[in-house]
Amino acid sequence: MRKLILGINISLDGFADHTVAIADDELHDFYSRLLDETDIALFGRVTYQMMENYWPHAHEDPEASRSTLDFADKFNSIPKMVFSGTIEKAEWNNTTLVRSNAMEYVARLKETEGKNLLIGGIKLAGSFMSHDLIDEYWLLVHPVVVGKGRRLFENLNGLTRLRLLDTTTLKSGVVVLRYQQEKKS
Amino acid sequence: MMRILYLFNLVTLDGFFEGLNHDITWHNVDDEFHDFAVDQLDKTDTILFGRITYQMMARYWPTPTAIKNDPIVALKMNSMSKIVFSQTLQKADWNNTRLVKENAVEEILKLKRQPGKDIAIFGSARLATTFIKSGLIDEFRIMVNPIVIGSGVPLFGLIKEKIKLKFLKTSAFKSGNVLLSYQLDKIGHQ
Repeated sequence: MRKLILGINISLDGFADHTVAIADDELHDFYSRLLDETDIALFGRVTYQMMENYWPHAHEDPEASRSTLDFADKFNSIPKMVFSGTIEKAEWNNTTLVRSNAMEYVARLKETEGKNLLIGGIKLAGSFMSHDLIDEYWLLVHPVVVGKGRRLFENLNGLTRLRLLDTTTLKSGVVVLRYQQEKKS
Repeated sequence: MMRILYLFNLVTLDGFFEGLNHDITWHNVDDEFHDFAVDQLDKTDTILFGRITYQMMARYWPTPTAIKNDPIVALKMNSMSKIVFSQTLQKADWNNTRLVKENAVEEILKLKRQPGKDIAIFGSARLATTFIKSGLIDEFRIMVNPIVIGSGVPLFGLIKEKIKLKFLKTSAFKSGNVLLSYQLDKIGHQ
């Protein structure tokens, strides 16, 4: 059995707005370590296209730091899947375009052997959440209150309880809260 | 050292400090939380409230139910010096409560200059907004509960600008709650 992990930057008030992120070396190193534990990164169309526009070209960015490029190398080489019925092809290195139903596909994928599956985009993650497919939440809480944007948990209805695994604090003041999905009784 | 004004709120993982209709039944509290709350109150000598939070608390803590279920905290809450800021309340009957109708900011500046233990503000979203914007909150203590409720009243939702905080410390509780402490860095987009 593989675990499906959601790893995402959020604000203290629960918004998953990537512009809240303090993208310093330590943050990139943290995500690099997360990729080390991952063997497939999963995407919906929107997040995929955003990522595909930047990461394959990261080495052309004069402002990219050492940690950004280390992360880029890992991200570019790791196996990736994009779930979309509309895009024509996926050109980012080592990416498979999957046209079948993402929920069923990922539920089956979780039954196979291997390292973790990682999801970072909010829309597809929301669908996984409402299908109880996410096993762990790695929430990187940035020291900011933004008051608007997409709520990370907007797809969940009713009260959901998670189990805290541990917390880690980065020098920037980002606190990583790791939770496990409580098993439904 | 001058005493501090701290804000303390429980918040859900999805960023709400209340559910709909002021629902706080999701509060994830146990013996360890109770010990934390007692310790925090021991270091506090004045609590500030807006009208709505005041009325909720004043309806609960003096009751036999509260005194039976939570004798230590009830005793502290009932005996502690309290200030309710409201222009509409006629009087404040909860023991040791002073009603202040205007100039909340000056009142706090005066209070902070006096010697004493820390000053707390719980809930009281509108009043807290005024104090945050005036730079009067010295410490933000946000206890993140491991719970998603889906809808409710957002933390600091009355402030439309982005609030940047400076991280102070964190502590995790066995219940899965995590207390995050911050100072205000700045409000706005600069």
